[in-house]
Amino acid sequence: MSEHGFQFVISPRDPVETLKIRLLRTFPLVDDGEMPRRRQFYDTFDWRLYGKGLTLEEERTEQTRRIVMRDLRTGAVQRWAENLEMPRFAEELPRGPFRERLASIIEMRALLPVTEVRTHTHQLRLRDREDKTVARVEIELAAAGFSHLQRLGKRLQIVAVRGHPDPANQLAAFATEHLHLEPASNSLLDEALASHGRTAQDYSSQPAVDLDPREPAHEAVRRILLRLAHTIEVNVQGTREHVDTEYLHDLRVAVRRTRSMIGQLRSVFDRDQLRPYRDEFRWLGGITGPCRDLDVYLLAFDDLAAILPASQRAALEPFRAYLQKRHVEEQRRLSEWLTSTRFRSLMSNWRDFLVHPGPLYESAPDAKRKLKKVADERIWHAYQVLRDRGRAIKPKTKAARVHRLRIHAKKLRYLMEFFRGIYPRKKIGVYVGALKRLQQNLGDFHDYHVQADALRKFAAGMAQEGPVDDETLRAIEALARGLGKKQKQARKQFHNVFDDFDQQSNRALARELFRPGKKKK
Amino acid sequence: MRILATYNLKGGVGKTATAINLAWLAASEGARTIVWDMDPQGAASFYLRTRPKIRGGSKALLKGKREVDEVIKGTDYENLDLLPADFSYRHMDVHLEDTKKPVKRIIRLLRPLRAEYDFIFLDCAPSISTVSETVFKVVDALLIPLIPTTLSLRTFQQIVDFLDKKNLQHVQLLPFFSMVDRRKRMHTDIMTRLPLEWPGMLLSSIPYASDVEKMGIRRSAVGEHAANSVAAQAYRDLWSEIKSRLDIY
Repeated sequence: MSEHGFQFVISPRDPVETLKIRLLRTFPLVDDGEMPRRRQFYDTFDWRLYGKGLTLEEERTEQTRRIVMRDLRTGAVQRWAENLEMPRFAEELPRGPFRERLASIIEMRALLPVTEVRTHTHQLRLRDREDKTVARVEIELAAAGFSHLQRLGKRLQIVAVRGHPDPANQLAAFATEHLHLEPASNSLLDEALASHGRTAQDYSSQPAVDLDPREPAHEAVRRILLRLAHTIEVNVQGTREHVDTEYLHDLRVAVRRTRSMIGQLRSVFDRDQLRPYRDEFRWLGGITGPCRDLDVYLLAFDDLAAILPASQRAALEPFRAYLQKRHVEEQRRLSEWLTSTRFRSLMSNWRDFLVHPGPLYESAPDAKRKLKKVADERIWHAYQVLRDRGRAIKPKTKAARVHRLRIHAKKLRYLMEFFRGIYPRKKIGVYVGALKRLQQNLGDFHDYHVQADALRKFAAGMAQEGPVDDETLRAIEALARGLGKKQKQARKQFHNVFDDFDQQSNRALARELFRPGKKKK
Repeated sequence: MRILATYNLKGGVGKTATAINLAWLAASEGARTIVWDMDPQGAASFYLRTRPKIRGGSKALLKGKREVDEVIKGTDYENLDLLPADFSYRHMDVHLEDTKKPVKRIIRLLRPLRAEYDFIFLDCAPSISTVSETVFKVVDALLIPLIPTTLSLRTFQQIVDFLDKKNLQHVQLLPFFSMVDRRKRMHTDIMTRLPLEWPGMLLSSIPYASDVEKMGIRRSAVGEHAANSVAAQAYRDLWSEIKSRLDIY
């Protein structure tokens, strides 16, 4: 349930003491005194806590230190853990409810400091006839910044105790009508971020840009590609420093999306101009692959090991150590590639090409056509390919064709994500949902196959480096066989999953949304 | 999320004091915690300064006419909420039996709480009934305060027999001694004997202490009004042992 509360901004002209006295004279408030605090706010690179309407702080007073999770809007405390420093990852916290809650939100992402606020808070409580606290009031003076402190606006915060909304409402009415306070338009965290030129949620891995269905396709496509280039670039540092695994993940997804767009929307460009970039992004996809593969194995290691009986799992530990060692090597190699002239030239030339495409593109067949028409055609084509090839897959069809179907599904998904903004939001959401379920099945089928294959290769690699315990080799082989079984299950499920995707309502939706030349409802 | 019930067939053994003090400890560690006062006497509600009243009573709650979210009350303590008692809980058995699937009903009722809270403490009324039988089926553990007397042991055996009879042997029982007076020979004797017969018994015990009785006057947890007392320490030890036994942290 969301917290019931109010935040007001206090004018710089209004002294806090006067305000406090007026509140104390009007309401039976208990004065709990003043508390100076140093509050360092943390979130993940992609603002997962903020996205859930939460803040996470390491809060220090003279005597105490705790990690506190609060409601972003009202500032009400949600959970805390005493005497702890902020961990980098949720799993570094001691076991317990706080770790469980944090892990469910941030997953594998690292916590990064986003701003620091020093607050001086006057704390008051409103009690009812039973002497029970029914509302909490805080008057807060704050300054933000890591080194250079900048004063923030004074705030009055009123939080209702659950099940007692009326007293908080009365306090809020008094604040508005008698103290003439304005409701705060943003949270303390937002204000603190703004004081040093930041905004929350300044990063998203989504390729969405504002699109006009009537604009020339060339312009829209270039904007999307620029956005993807930006995503690649902002993830470079985190990838190089291996802050967490998701920088590389997002970087790779942006590269794949770029490659997919270059391939599928080549008709809006001059092909000769595009060709070198197509090759270079393929190279970039290739050099980032080994490290990501190892990330995936290491992240999922415990889940993978759970395939085996408990008695056999310990034998996998040397294998984990081997993967970690390989990861260090691949990470070093990747880090070097990402500072190489080749990579830097690729990104700067690519940006330059997108910003100043020159006159050559004008002769490209789709460059100047309306975006909506081109998007309809491309998506409809990708849909037809997926539909027809999916229908052609029978229980005995070779695995390679199922793998190719996964690529076709991905191409369709990317196109829909690029151009999502020019289609009716709800309908395309429904369609993406249906496609996601198909992709999940195809992805499982592919991943189990690739993972089983890779496990055997890793085992061979280990054996080349030195003697490996037979137990370990047997455990790896058992794991590979376990994955093989799961792959077979995924294949069995494919036909039902595909039939679901290809059902009448989804076909009608695809026709309505994307079929070119038809009048859309 | 864990559901813990304080239960005993016998009254006056310290069930409510246990529920309040353990819930207070969980909340003061920063965990989202709620106490459901299931006893129509409403002692837990009283301790937490909340009127034992639910609009529509237990019938409305059990029949889903009143959402559980609407009746939850906050308390003086951040992170500790209360689902108050209502005098109509004395008929909760009848209302629960009216619903065709009582366990499903209670599970549905607890569902929104599961999503929001880390710990749910059910403070049960002292009886064996459809309500308690349903509670046994949804809890992670049953915390059973026992006064070290012969009569108390007899009721504990009755609980164990009842669970056997109902095929509920899997319910995790965490009995512990409560209201212990070490000056009494019978108390010390039983405290030596029972853990041998019942190895699952918790080692921590709660003394008979005026600080616990003062909860009714101060209307607060012992840790709040007598933080340095023997009783407060006993509850801290008990909570640590329960967490470790349930592999919580």
